[in-house]
Amino acid sequence: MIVEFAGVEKRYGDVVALGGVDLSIPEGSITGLIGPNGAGKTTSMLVMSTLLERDAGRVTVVGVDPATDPRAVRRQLGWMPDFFGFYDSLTTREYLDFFAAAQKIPAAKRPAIISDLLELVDLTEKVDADVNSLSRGMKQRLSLARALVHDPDLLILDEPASGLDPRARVQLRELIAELSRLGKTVIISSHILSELEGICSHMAVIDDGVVKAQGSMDEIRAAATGSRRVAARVPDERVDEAISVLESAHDVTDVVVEKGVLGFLLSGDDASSAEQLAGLVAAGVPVYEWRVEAAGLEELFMHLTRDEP
Amino acid sequence: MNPVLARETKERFRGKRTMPWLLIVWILAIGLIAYLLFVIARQIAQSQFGLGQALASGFMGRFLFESMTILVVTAVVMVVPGLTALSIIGERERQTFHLLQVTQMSPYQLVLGKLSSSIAYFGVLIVAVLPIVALPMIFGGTMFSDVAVALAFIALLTMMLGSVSMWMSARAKTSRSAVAMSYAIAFLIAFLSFAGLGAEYFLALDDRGDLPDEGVESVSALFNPYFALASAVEAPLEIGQDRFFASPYTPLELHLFARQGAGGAVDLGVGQVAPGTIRIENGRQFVNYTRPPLWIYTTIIYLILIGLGLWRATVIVTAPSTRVRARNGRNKPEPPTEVVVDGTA
Repeated sequence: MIVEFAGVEKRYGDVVALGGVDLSIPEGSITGLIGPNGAGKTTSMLVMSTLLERDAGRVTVVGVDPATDPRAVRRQLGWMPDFFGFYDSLTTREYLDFFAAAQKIPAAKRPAIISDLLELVDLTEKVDADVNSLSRGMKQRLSLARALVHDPDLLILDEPASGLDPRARVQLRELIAELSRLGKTVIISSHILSELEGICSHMAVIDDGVVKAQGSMDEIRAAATGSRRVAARVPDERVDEAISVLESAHDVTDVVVEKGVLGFLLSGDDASSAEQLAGLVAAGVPVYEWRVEAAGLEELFMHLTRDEP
Repeated sequence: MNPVLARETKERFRGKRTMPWLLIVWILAIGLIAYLLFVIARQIAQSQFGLGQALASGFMGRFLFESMTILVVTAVVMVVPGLTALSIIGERERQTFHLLQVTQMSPYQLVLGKLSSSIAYFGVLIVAVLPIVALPMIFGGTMFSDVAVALAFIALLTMMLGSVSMWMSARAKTSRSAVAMSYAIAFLIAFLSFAGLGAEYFLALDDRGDLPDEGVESVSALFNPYFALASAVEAPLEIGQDRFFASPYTPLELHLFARQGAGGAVDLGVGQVAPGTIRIENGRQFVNYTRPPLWIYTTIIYLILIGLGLWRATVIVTAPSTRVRARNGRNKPEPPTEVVVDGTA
């Protein structure tokens, strides 16, 4: 494991940010760290990045405790926060050169590294442009290049897709996939769950300062009670009747009607699906269409982070 | 070269605020002040010695030298806090501070890089006006050692104010408070210490309104750069026929003289100088100093403030994890793979 948390706690005054986080991130994975606002994602990332002290618990990052040898961790760590940090009067090249120097990369090696990085993030044409003149998407890619300037094994990306337009998001997703192919371990947090779904090999769901679930995407899906979304099409005049039938079933939740299609979360297996279908038919509701889908990240997230009774 | 110093130098000299306009305005302002001082010196020399005397020329050189050093010390007090107060808080507000913390740069490098870039910039401003500041040497009356000592003390003052401002910059929450705190400290040391000195004198007066015979060992003056400068350079109080030859350092020298127990001399009356405090060289009379010069105390205080400022700035700039390590190492050594924080596993 490249990152391990065991019972990590962090408080800000009376507010518990991390209430005993246990987390394991496999080497070479792209792990999505998801959770609602205030769940503890950024706090966890700051602890990993040597920027925040924990109150209790054990942490190892690239085999080293960040509290005992932060510089060793920083050598192997690239951190991209959820904000831009730029020097406006520098060009793209100068910006990367400065951080390369700060990472103790010899001056003779820096031009080649900067050239490679700009090519990787598709900013070669902007090499002499003022950082201030770059678009938000370009700044985000430049920020990623900065995090990569010392060729770290572990990349921590906090909300990297935030505020990007669809094209920039696709470019960023492709970039992260490319980094994974290059052997980097990537930890990425995002509120845009569909972005994570396409690229993450692993996931950790964090809520109220506690990890609710973690593992590979398949493991998470299997563990998350097998919730699946079912879409059913019934006559418009029979929708209310169908809703009351479905809501009376114990393994059906979140019944909604969208554009004339009835949708709900089914926590049971195929037999349960057949049972609900039979129930509607038995109630005299004609069913024109019945479609069972594997639960997406959104459903898993909603399921795992819903309030406990 | 320190990466922060390299970057900031590049940024400073690229910005519209710096070159060339600021430099031109600065040189013109110092040149104008120097000219005004020259006119004043000439007027005073005429009134004290009459024109054409060699003595008058030496006096003018001395007058200009003292004026220019006071001017530069004032410039340091007015400019250096402004240059350094924004250094760390500026990184925080630009959201680049954490990015620097996760690099391989140590907190010391970061703080020293910031300090040296600010001071180097001020150094450029000083070098730009050095020919003007050195003009008094043309007139004589000033030794090269005086200039060297004055420059060394100005460098020390710059370092001290820079270090303290760096500390304020590191601990401030906003740039406004960083600037306000830095200037408050600088003004306290440089200007309010005069008020402190006045208060100390007032408290030391006896029933007849005289200063005590044993002198006044004022604390306020120990921090004051002007007194230290006057005591550091060879600035003899020369006594003429019936009074001191007044120059810009004279009020400062009179205080230094008062510390020796000849407090009555502060009213410029030669007749009140205590016996034994006069030395005669080449037929000219000078006030003799017997106590350790004030500048030694000031230098020690400034060195302590430099150390304190840099140390505190470095501690604040250090990422918290390192501070956990330091605390653990001090309180309870732990194996590298299992660290106990605050005694809780």
